[in-house]
Amino acid sequence: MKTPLALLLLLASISQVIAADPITIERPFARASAPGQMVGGGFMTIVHQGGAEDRLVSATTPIAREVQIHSMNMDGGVMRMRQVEGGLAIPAGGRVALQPGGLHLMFVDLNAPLVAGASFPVTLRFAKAGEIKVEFSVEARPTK
Amino acid sequence: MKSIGLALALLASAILIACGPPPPPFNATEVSNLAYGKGLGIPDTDGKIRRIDDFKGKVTLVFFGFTRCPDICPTTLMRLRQVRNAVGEDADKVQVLLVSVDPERDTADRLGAYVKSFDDSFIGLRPEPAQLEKVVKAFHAIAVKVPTSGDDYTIDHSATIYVYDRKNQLRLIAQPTLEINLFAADLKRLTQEG
Repeated sequence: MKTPLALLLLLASISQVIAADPITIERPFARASAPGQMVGGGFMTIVHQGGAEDRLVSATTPIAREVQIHSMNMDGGVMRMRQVEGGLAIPAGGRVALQPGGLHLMFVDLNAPLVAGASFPVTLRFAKAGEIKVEFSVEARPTK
Repeated sequence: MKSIGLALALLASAILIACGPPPPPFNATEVSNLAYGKGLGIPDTDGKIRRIDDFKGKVTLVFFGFTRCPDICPTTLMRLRQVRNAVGEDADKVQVLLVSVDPERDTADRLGAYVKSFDDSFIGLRPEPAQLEKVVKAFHAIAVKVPTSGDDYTIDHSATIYVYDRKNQLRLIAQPTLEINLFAADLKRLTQEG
């Protein structure tokens, strides 16, 4: 009787590992928009515990007409922003940080201003992991 | 020989005393004799034509941006507010001007509301679309439209900040990442010049 129980437990734990999302999203946030600002940047860290590379292919949100995936860099004093072609690669076992001054989601043509303290849903679409829904919180612009 | 050495040493110290030690360098990059933006008149968001020379007596900061810029432009505006505040009692001698590189989409109303939301003293300048290229060139800057998706586009643009002294001479070129206290120290020095 002992063996089957242990086996069952083992099987259960394996299926749990398989069922668990290999991709998790840490600290999704956006900054409050300024009056007149029709776009907003979205930031988060994508944590991938799976064994094969995945890609963030696209995203949608009800609060904006479109969501674009952008890279940004400073090159000789020039700010260059680019749409990430073919989706954003998420290496197996890796973390990809979308943060101010670098990679970000761009919410294009906001339906309403982003107000500090509010939150809004974003659906992320990954090539392998499929759809992941996350709630972005809107943070005040740092003022100090 | 000894007396010649002594005389030289005395001479050297006399020169040092006469000239004083050189002033410490600024934290931003110092420039001189550059006529960037000189004579250029750009409409502000109320339609009034503004020139660098209109801001005599003020330390004037000019930089390029646009309202559909999700990251570096709002960050720079926030930082410039902090820099200006850190200048302290002479803060009102510091004038920030944002020149839009996207006058087609940045209407005067939108640009005005945007800029003032960061600091009420900031002024947005909106070149006529046909004037933009000339304005950008006058600062030896870059602004290039880059298509994103559909009809949408973004604009690669210079993110450096041009700092004019109280006599409207271009004195410093600062990177947007310059530390707030260091930047404020530079501006304070310029506000204390005659």
